[in-house]
Amino acid sequence: MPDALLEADNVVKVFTPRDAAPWRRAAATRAVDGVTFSLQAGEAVGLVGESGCGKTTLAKLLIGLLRPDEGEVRVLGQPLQRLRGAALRSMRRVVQFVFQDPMGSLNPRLTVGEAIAEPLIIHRLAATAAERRARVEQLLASVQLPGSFAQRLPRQLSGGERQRVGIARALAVEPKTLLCDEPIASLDVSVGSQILELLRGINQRGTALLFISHDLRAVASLCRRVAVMRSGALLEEGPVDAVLAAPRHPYTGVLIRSAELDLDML
Amino acid sequence: MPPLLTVEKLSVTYAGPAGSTRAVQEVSFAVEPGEVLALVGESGSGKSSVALALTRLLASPPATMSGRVQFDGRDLLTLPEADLRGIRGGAIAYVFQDPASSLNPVLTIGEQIIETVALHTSTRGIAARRAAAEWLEHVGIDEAEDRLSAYPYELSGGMQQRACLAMALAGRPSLLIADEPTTALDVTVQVQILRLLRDLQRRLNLSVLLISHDLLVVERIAHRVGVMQGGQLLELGPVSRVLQQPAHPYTQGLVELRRRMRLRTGPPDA
Repeated sequence: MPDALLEADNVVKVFTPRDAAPWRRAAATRAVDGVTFSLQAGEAVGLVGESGCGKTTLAKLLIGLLRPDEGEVRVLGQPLQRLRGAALRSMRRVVQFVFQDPMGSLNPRLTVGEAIAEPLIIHRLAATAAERRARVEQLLASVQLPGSFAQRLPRQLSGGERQRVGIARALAVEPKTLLCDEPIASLDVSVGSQILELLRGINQRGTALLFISHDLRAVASLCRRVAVMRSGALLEEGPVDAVLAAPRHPYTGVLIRSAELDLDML
Repeated sequence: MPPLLTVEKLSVTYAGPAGSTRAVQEVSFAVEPGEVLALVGESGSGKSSVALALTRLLASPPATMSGRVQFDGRDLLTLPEADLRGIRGGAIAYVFQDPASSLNPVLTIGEQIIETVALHTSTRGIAARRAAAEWLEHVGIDEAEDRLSAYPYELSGGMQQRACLAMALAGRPSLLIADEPTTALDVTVQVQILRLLRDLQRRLNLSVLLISHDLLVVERIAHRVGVMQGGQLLELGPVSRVLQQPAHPYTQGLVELRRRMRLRTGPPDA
């Protein structure tokens, strides 16, 4: 079997409160507690769980924004922590990310065009300014935004448009994987479903997706495989249909019935 | 029985530097006693403007309101501000999307509920404190007596929203306006709060105006639903009728979306 795009091997991340007095044993939180997980080329996998279950921490470990205290994250078989310089930069072309709050992930002073061009410059993906402009326009088109948006500032866009810009910027380096952390949580239903549709298209063109969400409805409509997380651990994973039809863990059942707004559960 | 609230040709216009926006355009509906009426629509459809305009909670200017809002024999749009203040938080109470920003961070939960009790009922002193604790129990907060002295930041999002509900109910409302009451909450907490809202509505025979963008939420607790888009009320009818035979293309789109986002076929979703 070829190397997985992205692999977590028994990773652990412990957070210790910074202001804990030295003589007191600080109450450490095991935010991610021994997770083993892999993402293969072209897959669409959902990671679900409630707030505080560790899904965002796991995402940050997977993209190297946090270092695991134990275990290892591998990108195309290479240990992420040992990558430096050019190797690390080329890893960024394997995994790109889209965050929940598009306003917070876009520089308010950069135009949309500048924001999307930045990765093209860093990764030397366009030789000339003209080539860069053409590529920006093409990327905007790929997220169904008009080319004229390149001149706009983030604050001149709606939430859904900003999220599209975030996706266009992530796609600029033609990543093999898009890791999306709650990309539709701050959008309303119809705008959110358009973003889901867009992500589905991106996946169908061959980019693997890791879709992190507390919304099982969104996960079920987009992903083939789902992993359920609680208190830092993966409870179960499997094909979406199978997990929905016969959840092995009682908590998964609670999540499913919650997503269905089953008011008479318990 | 006559309707509790009758809204006739309500319009809301916001004046801005680039001209004015008609956020709500001649919207008419009525809320019956003991009924849950939902308004659905996407962001910017005008549903929250309707909710706020009913008790003139919109700053004027920039907002201008026209039409009639009949409640308890009075037109709330022309009622003197002083009289309206007795109604807001009393006979008409609100619960908003983000509990953290509806609660005052420097007052305890108890102080905030007691304030409502004192403002809108004849209960005072120790009795008001007891009433506040009882409302906390009503909304499912354990050890209510102790919780009275908690500050909002000491409660989780779900608990904060319960406290907001307690505060709203403490004014003994006949109409509760719930504007996206579960949107900011986690999935599992969402179910708890919705169930609580449904149970309280039944127990107290409350009328509820529910504002939501989620048809599933509407389906679970509303009797009738109005669909809003671009400031207009496109259609209004019993939830089952609107879901099964949506009259307007926009509603058809919403229902289709709802169908596609369905997790499993068959009960309890059928």
